[in-house]
Amino acid sequence: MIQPPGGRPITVTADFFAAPLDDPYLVGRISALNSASDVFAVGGKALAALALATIPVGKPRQQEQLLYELLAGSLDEFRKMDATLIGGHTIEGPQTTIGFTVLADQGLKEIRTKGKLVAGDLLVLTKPLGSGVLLAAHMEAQCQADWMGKLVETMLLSNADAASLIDEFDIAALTDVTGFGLAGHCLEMLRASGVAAKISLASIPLLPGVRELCGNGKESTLAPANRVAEEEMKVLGSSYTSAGYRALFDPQTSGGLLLGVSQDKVSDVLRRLEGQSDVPATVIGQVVEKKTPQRFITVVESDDFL
Amino acid sequence: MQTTLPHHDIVLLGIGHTNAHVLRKWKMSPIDNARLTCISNASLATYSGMLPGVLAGQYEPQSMEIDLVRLCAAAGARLIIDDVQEIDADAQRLLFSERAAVRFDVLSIGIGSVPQCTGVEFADDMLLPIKPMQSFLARLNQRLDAITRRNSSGPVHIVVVGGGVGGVEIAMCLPSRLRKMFGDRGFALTLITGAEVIAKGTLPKTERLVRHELERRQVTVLTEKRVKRVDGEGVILDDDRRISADLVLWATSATAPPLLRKLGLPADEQGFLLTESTLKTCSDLPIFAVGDAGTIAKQRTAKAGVYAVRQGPILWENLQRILDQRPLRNYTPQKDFLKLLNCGNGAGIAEYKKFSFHGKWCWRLKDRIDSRFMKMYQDYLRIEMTSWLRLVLSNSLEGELVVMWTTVSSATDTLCRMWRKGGWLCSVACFESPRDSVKSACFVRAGSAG
Repeated sequence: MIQPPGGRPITVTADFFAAPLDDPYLVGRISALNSASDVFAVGGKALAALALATIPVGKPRQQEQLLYELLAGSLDEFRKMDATLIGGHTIEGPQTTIGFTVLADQGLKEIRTKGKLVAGDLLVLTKPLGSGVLLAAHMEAQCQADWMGKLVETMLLSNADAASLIDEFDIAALTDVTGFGLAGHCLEMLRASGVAAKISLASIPLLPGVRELCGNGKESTLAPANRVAEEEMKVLGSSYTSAGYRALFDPQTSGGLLLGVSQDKVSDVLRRLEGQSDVPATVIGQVVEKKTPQRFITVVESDDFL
Repeated sequence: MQTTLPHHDIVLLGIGHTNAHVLRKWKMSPIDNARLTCISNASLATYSGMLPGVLAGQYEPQSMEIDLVRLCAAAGARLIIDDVQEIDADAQRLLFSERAAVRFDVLSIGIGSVPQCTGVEFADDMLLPIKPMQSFLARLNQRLDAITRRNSSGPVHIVVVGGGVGGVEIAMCLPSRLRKMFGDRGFALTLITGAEVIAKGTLPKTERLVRHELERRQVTVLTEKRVKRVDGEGVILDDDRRISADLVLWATSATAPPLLRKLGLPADEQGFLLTESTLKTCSDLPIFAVGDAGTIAKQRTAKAGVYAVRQGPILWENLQRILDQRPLRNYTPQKDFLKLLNCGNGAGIAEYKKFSFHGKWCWRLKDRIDSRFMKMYQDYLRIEMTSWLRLVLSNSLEGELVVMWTTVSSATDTLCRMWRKGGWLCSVACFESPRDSVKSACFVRAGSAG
């Protein structure tokens, strides 16, 4: 966050990725949402974006078409946020990558952080997990048409709607779930807040197809690295091999928000999220006191405690 | 991941029989320096030949579906699920309502046909058109469930409008499903056609066989009757006779989808795009129209899937020729072809040249042909054929034996392409295992040409 002398505070974030699909228009849209998601997660309002892209070597006409489709997609999404694409830069490279630096008006309200979870808060996840493993399966032609349809719909759901609730319900702590997977991002929040959490595998929402794919041992190439979070996790029962457990480490592309919501507000928050889209939001666990030798995350199978 | 952008963009609009052939060929050996884009309004393609069998409960719904997401991923083609709004002919771009326009160097339009329903008034939503076929089964089940829930007794009345081969097959196959659903309540099925005969275009003897089958199923057949109006109670014919119905299935003769009229390309009186014998539209643009969507100006044929299937290899050849600026090949519609109708009860009706047959073997033959056809398209395994075969062959000595474990057609196809491009001359012996036609061993003798 930048505080210009005499002006309003401005938040600046950057994110980019290698094109996860071969449809540049969709990639542009997803990339814009993915980049702006960091802004939503701190309660900011996107103002402007700068594009940075790598596109493969080719004839100028083909390169122009690719860039046109990428930017047309991202512009469509930035327009919906009332933000403008003010420039950027493109170079040639071995594969298509695209990302944005997003500038946002932080306003005069308090900045939202990851570090304000309090024991007793419920953890709400606004999008189901599994985009990483589904995209990995798609590379091998194993992602079914109906799975793909839901995956694209979920990736194209803007986190702006969910973020609009944070002022109304005074949600103090939140983060967006992306490359480190749910476990990694949740751990970041818990560490910053000095609390622990109990997560229920039974209530982890999965995208269609994820259960089948994870059940067959399929995973994204980034998932093994995300398993580093396991050092701070304790698993009760024999759920190591379950699809829900594997999905905790699945890297998300344009993933949802993880919100810490106090118990008295949770039903209202869920009702509002339900009204916003067909993508289900779910309570996945609860924040508890951190006792010193205890690990940060306890994974249990049942959802009795919720 | 691509490291350089291809020079040519080949775009297939609609993935029916003909365009699907190109997609399958692409999977075996893609055209060098080109990208294939498939545009479809649904992520599943449905094989209409198996629909009656699915209605009769002989097949699972999935067995007639082709998963375009997986097939395109396996073929290395990109898939866009969206509705094209129009063509920007000068810039050779396809325009959509929201997404960015897609450019093409060559385009093949194969968006099929829709049932004709102009001149008919529809006052109610009881009408159920068979297209789009991807959603037909779901829509049918939804309606049938609604009828079951409706708290009335007495037989369920269902009217099938359209007495072509498609309509009669549905009328023959639907009863076994209805019997299961409505049981004691019973049902009455009526087939209405504007033509003098049913199963138009078949031999009189075939028509007699079909009529006999329909009589056995107690289907009422009304010929030379046109439907004037459909309302909440049923259908009203042109002679003002009313036939009550709980559901009306619309399976009339084919007309052009609305999009074809918006393209500004030469079209016939029904709106289908006029093409040369090469399947290229009668315009200066590199646009082909195939299957039902195209009408060959000099060789008019009925709109039927068999023609679309046979156009596949010609289209595949001509797409390559047009990019290489070579003369295009002509398609000649076949004069005689085997017609097979599913009776829905384990028997079938066949017609070939001047002969008509009825029997269990006819259905078994149809089942075999259809299942084999679908198996080719439901194979979503990725083949990185060209690259590894090229490697093997470039490292093998003249006269050396190379053994491949692959499909026969993909092996021969790749070799043919290599021979044309690189001058390789190979002899191939293929051994297809009788139990599994998908995988078979090919022995290839490598040798240089000339």
